[in-house]
Amino acid sequence: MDVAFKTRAAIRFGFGLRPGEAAASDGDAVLAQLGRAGETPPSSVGGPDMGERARLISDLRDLRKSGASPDKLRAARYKIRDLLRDDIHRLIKHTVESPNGFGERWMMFWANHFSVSARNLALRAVVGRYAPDAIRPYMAYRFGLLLTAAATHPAMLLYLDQAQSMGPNSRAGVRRGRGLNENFARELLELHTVGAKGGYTQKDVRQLAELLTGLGIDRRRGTFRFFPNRAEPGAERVLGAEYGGEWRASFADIAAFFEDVAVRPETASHLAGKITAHFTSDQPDAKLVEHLASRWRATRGDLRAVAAALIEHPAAHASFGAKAKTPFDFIVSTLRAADAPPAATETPAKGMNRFSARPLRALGQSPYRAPSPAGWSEKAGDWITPPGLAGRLRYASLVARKLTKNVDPRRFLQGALADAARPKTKFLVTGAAERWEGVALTLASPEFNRR
Amino acid sequence: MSSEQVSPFAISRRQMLAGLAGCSAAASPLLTPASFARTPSEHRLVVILLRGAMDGLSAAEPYGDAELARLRPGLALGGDALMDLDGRFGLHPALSPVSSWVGEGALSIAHAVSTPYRDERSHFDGQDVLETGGGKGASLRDGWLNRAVARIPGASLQTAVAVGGAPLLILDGAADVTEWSPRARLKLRPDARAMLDQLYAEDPLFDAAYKEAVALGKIEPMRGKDAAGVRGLAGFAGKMLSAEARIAAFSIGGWDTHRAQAATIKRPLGQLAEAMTVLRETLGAVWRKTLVIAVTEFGRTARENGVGGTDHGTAGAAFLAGGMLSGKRVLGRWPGLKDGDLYQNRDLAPTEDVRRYTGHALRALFGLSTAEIERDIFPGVTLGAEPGMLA
Repeated sequence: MDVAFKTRAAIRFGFGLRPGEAAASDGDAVLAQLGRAGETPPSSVGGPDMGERARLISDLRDLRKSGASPDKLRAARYKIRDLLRDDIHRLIKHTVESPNGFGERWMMFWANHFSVSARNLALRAVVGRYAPDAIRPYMAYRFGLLLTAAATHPAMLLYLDQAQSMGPNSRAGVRRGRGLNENFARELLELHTVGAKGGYTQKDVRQLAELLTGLGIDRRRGTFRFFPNRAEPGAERVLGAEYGGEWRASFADIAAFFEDVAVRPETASHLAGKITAHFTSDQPDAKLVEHLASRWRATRGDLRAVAAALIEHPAAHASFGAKAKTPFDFIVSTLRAADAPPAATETPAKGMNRFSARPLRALGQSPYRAPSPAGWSEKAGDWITPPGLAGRLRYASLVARKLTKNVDPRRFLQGALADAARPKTKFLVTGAAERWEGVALTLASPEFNRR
Repeated sequence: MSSEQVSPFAISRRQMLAGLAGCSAAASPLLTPASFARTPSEHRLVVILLRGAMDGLSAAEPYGDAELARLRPGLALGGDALMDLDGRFGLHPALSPVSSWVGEGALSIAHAVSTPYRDERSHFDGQDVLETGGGKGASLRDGWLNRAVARIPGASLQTAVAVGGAPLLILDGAADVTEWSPRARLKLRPDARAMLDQLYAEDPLFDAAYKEAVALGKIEPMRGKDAAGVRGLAGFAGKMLSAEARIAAFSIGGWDTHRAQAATIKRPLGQLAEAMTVLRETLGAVWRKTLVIAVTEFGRTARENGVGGTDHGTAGAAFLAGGMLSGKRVLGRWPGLKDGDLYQNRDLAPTEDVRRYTGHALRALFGLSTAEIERDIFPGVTLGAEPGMLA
């Protein structure tokens, strides 16, 4: 089945078709979505800034210290809980409403690649501002820049325990009897850059952990801060290159490592494979992966150029339909296809929105709750499971009954899938006994759940 | 996906399974899954995967080793705080619900054990080795328990059931694994069924998931608040094992204690104790025919790190429980904790392949031969004499 470019652009590279929204008609238009999404200012997608979020945490800490009443403590905790609830709804709403589908997908890919999760109270307060500040503004530029931004954001420093790591021989380390934590260094190599097969050794991990000492958080402002007195003295040798040592420890040494590792061929291959798998298939085409990797090497990790390499290659289009949508992508594309009213994505007075955040949690993919530093799985077999599919069926009928009353199911099918609809699905939708059933069949169909 | 595809939505079952294998260890998206299998044996085997690398030196602290206080000035609890095992080792206090089992011979520790996985210390690769049962360089794509089930005479492969989202790789492979979750139920009118049958017929992945969802719609869902928790999981496993299932596998996470381990390890240890307690309660009289083995992908550094935690290491400990144990409380050879004794001067050195314990369990409980285990289940292992685990 040959599907029009516009359909592929919206479904495979975006968050699906939406009535009244013009789909990109060529590669340049797809890439323009990346540019526009990247220029969306943090203040318009990120909610309260980091300073405000830091204040919520320090208020709670002050209350605890002063032995405040349980009621006051609870109220302070609820403020953080409600902020996260707002963050979750804000993310879904923005993604549903954004006309820059490919840019939003690219953003979600990198946010999941540099995954953080609301593991504790402090993280609950800050995770919502992480991608708006550290991912979105940098995702169309050099990977080294994106890496530096992600690796120095307080959310990442908290999540991978870097904020407390100190050089054992640093002034602060000696004074406070503290030392190294390898967690961040290991994930930085294994997950974020060269990958598990990237040829590094335990010694590299150790040396990198030493090099990374000093990365910390200004807890009052809620911003990144470099603490020279926590940095391990002396030079470190990571992946064959030497960093720092001659002068007083400085952030420049760490930044130099980020820039170096960003352009290593192992990083290029690891990320090319991951991007290709994300957009095309759990078993990505080897030629396509190499096409992206070589663009990465040639442009020293220019992410816009790498995105262009993906969009332009025929193999990225030939496997249309091979990839299954994760629950987040399924729910967002459903709400887009249903042209859902704003109320379907807004934060309700209590709890989670029944049309978006709540079903997303039921399907196992609550935003900001990725299960590990590796982020969410995106393998079809992990999501298209019996309980997973049963949940999608239930959600499809909820939306069909409540949000698309009086919609002609044949028009709905055309709007949601255009020429990607299979004859079988058309037949079933046309023959459905009730209107809502036709809509539900569309949303539950394999082709709506694939891309 | 390549160009040989006829329809963009047609994906072969084989391609789909290839995509499944090897990925489930990384991030299980839904609830903690569990797997079950039937065999003709009366014995029960429960494998608990401790995901995230349990610190064996905290779980069963070698308080009798004089080096420990030097390596772990902030973390070592010392003999008085522990529940003594044998004058050398003591159980962490968070395991107190099962401490009385030691005296009755229903709980043992296998110490300084590891899988053949070495040096890279990645959770994801380490868990893959733990679940596939491979040795050095072996690239197995299916779970060791699955291969074992396939070789147990009379074992019924179609009856393996997994709770929750992704099946565990440990039981993943040639056997058809159906899944079940406490929450998802599917009730359909007959005419809706007929439409959905057609809707999914051409897509093997969706068709399989849909058919299993319908088939499992008849299973009674678990009730209560803790349905998805460790208590619910262990209770469900106990119920399945009391009926026709003979092998169960599930996992407990939360062991990756890089920071403030004194506090953070209590919760997973408590959950492990709870899981074992619930299993024993639910199994009742069958407990005496049961062996529970709790294993982890690797241990953690012998020295505490700079922030009161421990980093990824090599050898760790395995827990053994049930009514079939020899009563020997601590198994294995202790390598010592002097700097020269440590593996790469950082980790507890492995003195025993953990697969020897699981291998001997499969032999004793289900009659698999040494040759089968060494060749098919755990390639590269030398089974040798029974390590003193079983009565």
